[in-house]
Formats: sequence, C-alpha cells, structure tokens
Amino acid sequence: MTTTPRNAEALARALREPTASDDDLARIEQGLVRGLEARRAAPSAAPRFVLGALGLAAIAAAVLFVGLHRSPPPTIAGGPPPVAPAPSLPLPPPSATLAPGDELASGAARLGHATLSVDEGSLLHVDDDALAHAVVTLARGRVHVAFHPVHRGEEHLAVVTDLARIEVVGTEFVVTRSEAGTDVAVEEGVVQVTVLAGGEVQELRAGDVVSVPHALPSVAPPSSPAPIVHAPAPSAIVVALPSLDEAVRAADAGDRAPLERLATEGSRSERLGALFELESAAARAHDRAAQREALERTIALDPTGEDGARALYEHALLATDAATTAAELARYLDGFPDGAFAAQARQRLCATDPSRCVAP
Amino acid sequence: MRGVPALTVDELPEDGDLGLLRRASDGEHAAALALFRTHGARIHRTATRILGTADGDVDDVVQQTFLAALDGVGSFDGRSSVATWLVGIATRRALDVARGRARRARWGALSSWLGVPGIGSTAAPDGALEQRSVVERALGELTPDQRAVFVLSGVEGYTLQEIAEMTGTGVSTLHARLVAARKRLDAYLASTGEELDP
Repeated sequence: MTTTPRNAEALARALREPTASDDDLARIEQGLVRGLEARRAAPSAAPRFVLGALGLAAIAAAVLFVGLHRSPPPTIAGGPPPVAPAPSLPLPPPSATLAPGDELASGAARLGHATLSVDEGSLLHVDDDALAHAVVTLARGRVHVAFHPVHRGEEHLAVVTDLARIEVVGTEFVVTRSEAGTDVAVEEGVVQVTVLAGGEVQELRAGDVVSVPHALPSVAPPSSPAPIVHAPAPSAIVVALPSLDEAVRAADAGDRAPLERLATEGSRSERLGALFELESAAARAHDRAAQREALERTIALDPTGEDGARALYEHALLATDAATTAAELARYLDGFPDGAFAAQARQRLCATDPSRCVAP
Repeated sequence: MRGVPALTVDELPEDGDLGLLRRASDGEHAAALALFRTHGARIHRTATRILGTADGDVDDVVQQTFLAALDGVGSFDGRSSVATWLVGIATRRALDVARGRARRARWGALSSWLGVPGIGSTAAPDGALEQRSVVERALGELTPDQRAVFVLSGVEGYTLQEIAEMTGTGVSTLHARLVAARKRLDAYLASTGEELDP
C-alpha cells in the first residue's frame, strides 16, 4: 500500500465528517436540559466575566479621586528613545471594584479579572459602553495592568489613549500617557497595539517596549513602523509564555525557567502540566525536596481534583518518617475515600500504623 | 427524544443567533435548545477532534460549552459570529480535558520509572488502542495543543488570527504548532502505510 503525499491534508478532510449521531445529540440535549434546570434553580453561581451591564449589582464604592499632582512629563530628545521602565512597584491590593463611568486616579482597583494600578497623578476612565468588552481610557499618567482571565480568549480588555489602543487577552503590561506620547511596556504575555493615526497594528511580547510619539509625520513611511525597543521590562521577564511542549524541551536541554514560568503564570491546566513536569524532573534527579515542593504546589492548585489527589498520595510516599506517612495517607483517605489510590493508601496505612487498619 | 419543542421560524428572533443567546441567557430554555440544535453537531465535532476520540468527556465538554455561553454572554463582543465564539469556548474546555488526560497518562510512566507500584497505569484499557481508527491513531500522535490548532485550522477553517483570539495564544506560536502537527502527521501516516482518500 502506498501513501499519498498530502496525508495531513487528507486527514483534515476526513476529520470534517460529522462525529455525532442523532442519538448522541439527543443524549447531550437531555444533559443540557438538566443543566439548564439546575441553572434556573441556582442562578448567578457562575462568575460574570466582564463588568459592564448597568443591571449588575453591587459595584463597590470608592471612586478614587484625590488631589492630582501631575508628574513632570519625560523630556524626549531626538528619535524615539528606549523608555525608562517604571520603578518596580509592588502592586497595592485592589481597594475597589470599578464600573462603567468610574475613574481611577491613584491606587489599584479591579475590573473583572483585571487589576489596574495607576501612579499618583494619573487618570484612568472606565468607558460607559464596557458591556461586553472592557475598555478603559488613560487620559494621563501610567497604569499597570494585570489581566488573568479564567479562560484566555473569553474575556477581553483594552486600554486606550489618544494615540493608541492596546488589546489584551491575558497579560501584564504598563501603559504611560505623557505629553510626549504613549508608551507600552509588556511584562508578560502578548498585547496588540494599534496606532490610532494610520491604523498600524503591532503585536508585542514580554520584554518589548514601543513608543507612539505625538508628532507623527502626516504620512508615515510604510517601511518605518513605530520602533520596537527591546528593553528590560520592570520585572525583567524577557520571554513570552511558552507552551508546555516548548517548556519541556527547554527543560530537557537544561533550562527549567520556562517550565517554572508556566507553572506560575500559565492557565490552570498549563500550570498543572508544568508542575507535573517539574515533579518528574525532580524525581529523575533524585531531588526529593524539589519533588515535594512540586507536589505541594499541585495540591494547593487542585485541592479537590484528581491532580491534587494523586499529588497528595505521592507526597505521603515521600515522607521520611512513619508518623508523617501515616498522617498524610489518612489525610488522603479523608479527602478521597474512593480515590484512584484509596485501596493502596489503606494497605500502606495499615502497614505503617496497624492501629489504623480498617476492615474492607 | 426532545421534551422541549423547537422554535418555529416565526419564533426565531430577527437578530438570529445573538438573539437566541440573549434569550437563553435570560432563562428561556427553548432558545437555549434552539442554539444547541443549530450548533451542537459542530461543537461535538470540534471537541471530539481535539480530544482525539468520541467518549463521555465529549458529552461533558459540549454541555459545558453551551452552559458557559449562557453564563458568559456578557463577554461576547460581537467581533466574531456566535458559532465561532462557541467553538472557542469548546476548544478551551476540550484542551483542559486533553491536557489532564496527557498528565494522567504520564503518571503511570513516572511510577514505572520510579519502581513505585500503584500510581496509575501505562496499559491502554482493554486493548482499546488497537481498535482506534487510523484517524484517531493519527490524532493521538499530536499533543493537545497541536491537535487544537490543526483541527481549528484544517478542519474548521479558521485563520491563525481567529484561533489566536479564541485561545489567547500568539499567532507565531500557533504557526509553529501547526507546522509541527503537519510534520508529525505526515511522518506517522507514511510510517503506517495507511492511505486516505485523496
């Protein structure tokens, strides 16, 4: 049997065939009906991803107007300079939740799954029409945005100045609006910057900094986009968030930093995957301390799920004394009496501490 | 077996899917089911292809997709069609499941290496591996992320920019995954000697 040279293409065509029979769809529909009835019985348990609808209740108070002190604008000579990164500020805890029409002039506040923190003297306005897509306007000053949606792609946030629109789906970055122009510095993830005069669009990654000066030429030369200056971002993160495959390959080559980054900053499933890879690497290196740490982080991230359950069981096996082993096995059995490792856990617990043996 | 009657043409809102979505979000079951009957088959296909095989998890992903859409209607910004938005939700949920499966499959490998009994199993259940179709075996050669971009691009016909918006992943990363996916599939199908209809 010979192969055809375009098998990936042929496979894609084959995959276009329907996968669901009428019975499948009917069964799923029945499940959906049950879900709809449960939803009707317990409404609003799920989080609303984006603030905005005027009917939303309970938007907290504290519109933060304070005496405004304008920071002296940076002087810029010559061509677009590297932007001096802002002093690294520990983000203050958000003190308010924003709603359409609100303004933020200092401190930090939440907008959906975003935390916005502005320097003293800044002015950030939440657009009135932020129903389905949160938009904030930076009139002056600097805003640090940390936006970590539960599911990337389902929530959007845009920061707008008079010169640029910065679109995000999950990232951390800093926008500075001064008399000289608009600067964007990306700390994590990917942002899309649209230069409003001319419509040019650029995609920036962690470590990138772009300046959009006020005095744009009337006709921008097509070959000279707004320069991207690679400057260390305030948190010195210089690589974009990798995929798990890419992070594993880097770890195999001796660089665990991407894996660590993914374990801290990725989506939930990415973090669980990265933590497992860190655990595996530690096990192969016979580094029990690192293995335990990875397991503890997994337990913290998934305290009631399968990943956390497995991690809890394995953590018990790594204990160095019988009393700790017994205590941790008992903890596993308390939380997951019917878990995948319950039978083994009971056997080991009985072997470790006969006083805890129970009849099957 | 459909207990709730479908909407008639006269009952369909003038603004189509978006109107159904709003009415469903407000609690109108008929609108929710009309939305499902319009898009359910496609969502099922997307979930099945990303998960690699049709199983119980696909049912859950499809149901969760529509329920999540009702809860998250406020985040739909109209820049894509409702269908595309639903595919994006299904993709993310299917990827979560697929990644979990991949991790659990590796638990067994780790326990074997450590010589620790009882932590997962590397054996495929009931010889199911051999019973999978060539399509499923081929998809099994890809990582979940590679499968997702291959399915969304080659099967569902989305551009990389659209997939980037669905998944929050950069276009260049998606392109690299798609190239890698095609290479792996070509290599696998060549090695099996399988031939697919041209």
